[in-house]
Amino acid sequence: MTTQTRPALLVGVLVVLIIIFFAISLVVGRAPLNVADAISSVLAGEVNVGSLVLLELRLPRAILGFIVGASLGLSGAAMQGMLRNPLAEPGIVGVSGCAALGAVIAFYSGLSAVFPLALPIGGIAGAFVAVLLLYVMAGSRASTLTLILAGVAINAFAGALTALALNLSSNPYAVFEIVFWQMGSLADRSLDHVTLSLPLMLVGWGLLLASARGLEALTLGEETAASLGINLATTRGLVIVGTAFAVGGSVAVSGVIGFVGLVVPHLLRPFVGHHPGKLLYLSMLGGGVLVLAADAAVRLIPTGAELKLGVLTATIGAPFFLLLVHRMRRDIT
Amino acid sequence: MRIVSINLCTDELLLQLADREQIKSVTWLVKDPDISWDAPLARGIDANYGLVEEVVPLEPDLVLTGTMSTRSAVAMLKRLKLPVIELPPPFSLDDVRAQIRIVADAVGHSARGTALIAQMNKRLSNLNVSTAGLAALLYRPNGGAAGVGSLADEMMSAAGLENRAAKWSLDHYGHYPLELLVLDKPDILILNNQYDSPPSVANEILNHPALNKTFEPFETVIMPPQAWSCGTPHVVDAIEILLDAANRVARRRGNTST
Repeated sequence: MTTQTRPALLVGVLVVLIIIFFAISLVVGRAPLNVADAISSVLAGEVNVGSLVLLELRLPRAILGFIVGASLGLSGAAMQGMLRNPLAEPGIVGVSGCAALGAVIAFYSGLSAVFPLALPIGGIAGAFVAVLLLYVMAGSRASTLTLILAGVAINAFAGALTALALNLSSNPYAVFEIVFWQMGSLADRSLDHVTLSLPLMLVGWGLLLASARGLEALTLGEETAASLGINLATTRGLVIVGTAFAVGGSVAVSGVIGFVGLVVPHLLRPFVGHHPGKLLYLSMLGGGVLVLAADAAVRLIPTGAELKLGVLTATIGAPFFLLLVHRMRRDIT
Repeated sequence: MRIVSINLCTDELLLQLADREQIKSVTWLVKDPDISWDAPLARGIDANYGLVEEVVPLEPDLVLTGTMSTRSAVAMLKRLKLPVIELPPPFSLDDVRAQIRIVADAVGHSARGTALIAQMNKRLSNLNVSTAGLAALLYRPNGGAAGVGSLADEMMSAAGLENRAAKWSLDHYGHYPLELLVLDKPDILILNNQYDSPPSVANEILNHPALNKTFEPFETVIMPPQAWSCGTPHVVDAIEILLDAANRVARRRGNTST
């Protein structure tokens, strides 16, 4: 009984939190703006400073906060389910890093200027290569050590090639933008970024959520799952391609925002027990809450230049990660 | 006297003030006409990349550099007991004048320094600043603006322009999100990168729909980097460019109102 009602209650709580933080995201910013007036201007179809700031700057930021967070939370939960390892996370194991590399190549080569879709496609291609590589290296029952070491190598390689690509750009500012790609930010993004990335992320969400039944069965072991009529190859394919679309699409417009896919599933897992399928949609909502809240926080924390989003998620996520490693020490060695 | 400069801005002052024979080496940057208007003066002079091992064999009597660059090289040069003059980034036209004097005195051509300052002052007093009430804003790539106390702020005033970012207490160059730019709506937007330069996130922000919708007929000035990357007399050229833009806007507004 309780396992049935608690997730439903939790979904309600998460949705309320999303609405609250989405609203905060529209209100918070450097420009002193009367949001109520701005909303009435938007509704009246007037173009003025208020409606422009609200519609063209704060709204895309809030939407991206939710969809990027949802993508990262969902991918984290799905990867942990597929690799049956609680430390799998797009940022830690290098999937986000490779997505950034793909996006950087598409962006700074000028390809995305003539063909805008090249940006998210670049991100997706990078993320796909990384998940595939990870799966080949770590296998279906990933030992933590193999998984993390493969992740370290993929991350370092992607980071180095990203730096190389930015150094080769003839734009003098490109080299400084490595901070954006490796630390992530939603500052000054536009609705174009939403329309570019949202459809591809939706594809990713669909594929990942479709893997729920397979991931549930996989907890019983591969043979039992197969005897239940689950095609494991299909499940893995859904997770790999789904993660590529969700993470690739989000990193291409926001840069790498780490640890969301680690922290969120871990916080929500106690509520659903060992049900990786249920954890998927909860982590999706939870990721949205976390990134929306973090993005409001970077605007409120009074630092000179705005804090990068990834800096904040890492300061929360990295100690959390260490705690998990500490708890799993015996299992690793 | 054998002089070496390992900073773009001290390169420029050195080239404008010293005798050619005194200059043993300048940076590779000043030899690039896309970076410095003093590139023709540097032709034929050996280039360096700011490395100690390039400087030491030249046995200089004086090394010029900035306080913000090549710190480890400067520390090493001081340990080797080489005389080093370090110039901080200038925050005002008076700082520019003071630095001209420092370099002129150091290279033994004080009179040239005095003449260069007099020439700069003459150009400044000849500026025909007539427009009033126009506001400008220097928007830097990836969301920064020039605030009060910056050289750019003084250059805007010298061109008769009000610095729209002044009210935000940004210090010299501070974080300035796009939503403030939409709110502030300056008459003239000063940029130092081109819209059509190779892609970067900085350029992408210039094409943000919120900006296009805000400034229908707005005046953009693309400031050539040669004009104000350094506090040398070239800043007067930058002020002239700003003044031209102000006059264009005033003339256009005058035409539309009559």
